[in-house]
Amino acid sequence: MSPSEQPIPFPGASLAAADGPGLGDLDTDARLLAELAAGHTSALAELYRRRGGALLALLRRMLGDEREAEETLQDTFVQLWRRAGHYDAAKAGPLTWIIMVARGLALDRLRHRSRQAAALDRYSAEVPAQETAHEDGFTRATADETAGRLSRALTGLPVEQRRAIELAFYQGCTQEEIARATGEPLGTIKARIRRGMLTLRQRLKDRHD
Amino acid sequence: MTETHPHFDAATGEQASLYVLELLPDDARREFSERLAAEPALRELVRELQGNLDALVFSEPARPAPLSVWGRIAAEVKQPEAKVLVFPNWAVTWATRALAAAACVAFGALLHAWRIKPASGEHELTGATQATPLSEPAASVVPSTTSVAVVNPAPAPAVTVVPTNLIAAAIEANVLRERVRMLAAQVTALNQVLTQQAALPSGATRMHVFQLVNTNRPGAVNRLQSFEDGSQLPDLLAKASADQMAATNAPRTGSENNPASVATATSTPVVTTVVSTASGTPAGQSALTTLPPAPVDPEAPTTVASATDIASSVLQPDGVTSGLVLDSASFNSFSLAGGGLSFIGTEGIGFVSPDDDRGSIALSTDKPLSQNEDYQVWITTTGPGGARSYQSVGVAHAEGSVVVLKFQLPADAPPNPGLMVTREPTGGSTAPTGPVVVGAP
Repeated sequence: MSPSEQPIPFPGASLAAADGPGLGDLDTDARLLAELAAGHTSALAELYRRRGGALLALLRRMLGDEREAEETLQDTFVQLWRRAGHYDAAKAGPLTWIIMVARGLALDRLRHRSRQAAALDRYSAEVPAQETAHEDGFTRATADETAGRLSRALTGLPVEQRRAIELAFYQGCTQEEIARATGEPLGTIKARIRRGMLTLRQRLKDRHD
Repeated sequence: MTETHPHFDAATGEQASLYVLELLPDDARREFSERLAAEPALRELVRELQGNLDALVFSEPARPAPLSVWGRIAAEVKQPEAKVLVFPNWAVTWATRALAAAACVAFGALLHAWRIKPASGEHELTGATQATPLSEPAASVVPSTTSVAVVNPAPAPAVTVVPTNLIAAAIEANVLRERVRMLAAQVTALNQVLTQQAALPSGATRMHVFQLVNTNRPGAVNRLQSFEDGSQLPDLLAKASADQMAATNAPRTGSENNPASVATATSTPVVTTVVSTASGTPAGQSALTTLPPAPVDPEAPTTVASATDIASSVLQPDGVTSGLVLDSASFNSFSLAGGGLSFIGTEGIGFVSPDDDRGSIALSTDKPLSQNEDYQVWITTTGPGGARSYQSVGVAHAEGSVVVLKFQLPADAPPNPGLMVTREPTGGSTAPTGPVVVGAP
């Protein structure tokens, strides 16, 4: 049965099955990417339902603009639709690949509009507020153990390590740019990123085990 | 030591971190990729570090992505041969927000009508039920080995009981009709948005309004009307509300041997709205017609248990090839995903405003509360492994057979909760102990 011949899958009956925050089932992401590659639009809808909200939050944080974030989210899913066949499971997990597609498109926008300097300034100003907001987010997330574990692992990182990672990830800053923005030596930034990433990896692994 | 790796030196750890963050220069990236191909342990390290990024993104609280963006995506990826375009499940919730808003405004109109036009004579409240202040015992946490966890409600908002005979009076008042009519523009706008965003392959949009009637047998459906735009929806909603209240207030004289009387006397009608496209209609032309209501044959009602059944039994025979269910009324389902309209059982219907988290549940029960019992409203969530958590919203006492409970969700309510009402000993319980009145345990 071809995708277009399948019964109309009215979604209303499975409302309660909607995913909450958290990483969820990565196998499902991999399956959906495979179905995307096969041309199943239903998989795109499912992927949007599963991951669209978190990706939009990522893009909102990276771009600092709701409209741009939504435009980039649109571009992201169109890219996923077109490029799903190029996904290589040997190189990245499905969720990482999806995130990197979104992040890459957002970074393109940031670079194109030469906003990095402004973004850095904004980020520096936002850090204290975000630390507080994260505590609030953590409190709300107690109903979701997965999100809770992640929040605890992230908030457990030394602030300077977390900040260096977030600058690299959210703003696409190079180590040199982070060093300039923070006024720290380049070697210090390299060490912070390394330590932060490995520490976070170990903590997530410990919690998972 | 967590900042190093047992198999790799610091330089490799740094390169792996930079690789994952896409910070390696091109040459270094190519070199590192070659190492990855040859070193499984290094690939494993990179995969774990990539998990950090997943954690960064998905540790943030996230709202559902908007339907409007999905509409643009669907339009952009749509292919001519793709006749079926499935909509995300949450789209149901998004779309129901407008209906939920309509319901909440209508509900507010009821209260407003009551306030500005005090009931008199036959509508005068006798034995009005007073709101009962909460007396919440201290919550406790059940050990995690059990499947039930109790979230401490602090402090639980009050649940108030709305006198239902006043609601019936208000429904009859013209003020309700006028207030509800004001929603026409909003519903029309909703239709326009849906038509634009749904990126339907071709043809026109047809809106079906169903009245699902629960009987002692499997559910029955009666298509009330199909219409071109939303202008008639407010009237339909008002009529359905009035019918519902009339039905729930009616004496329970039905029997299984008389399907018609069963449907009339013991049913809790639920309105379900379905937006669908009719096939074979040239694009740009409206095939929208006002169809006569389908008569209900009490001897052989169309059996409908879920939205899927609506699709197979009604829409597909009607030539519908694609569509969007705005709300489903699976009689045992309950969901507040994202807020909005919620159907929570055969004997209750609930609304939660997505704007301010105010909600109400209408109950119809054969077994009114005894003196030493209260209704307790819970919000429920399902955690990993299916563990259920219950958070008390409040406690109230009302002894009628038709009860409307009003409440305010607590500020720390988790996203996408379910709703449940139980009977509990006077003052409420820290965890559900009594029989479930509506909702799912």
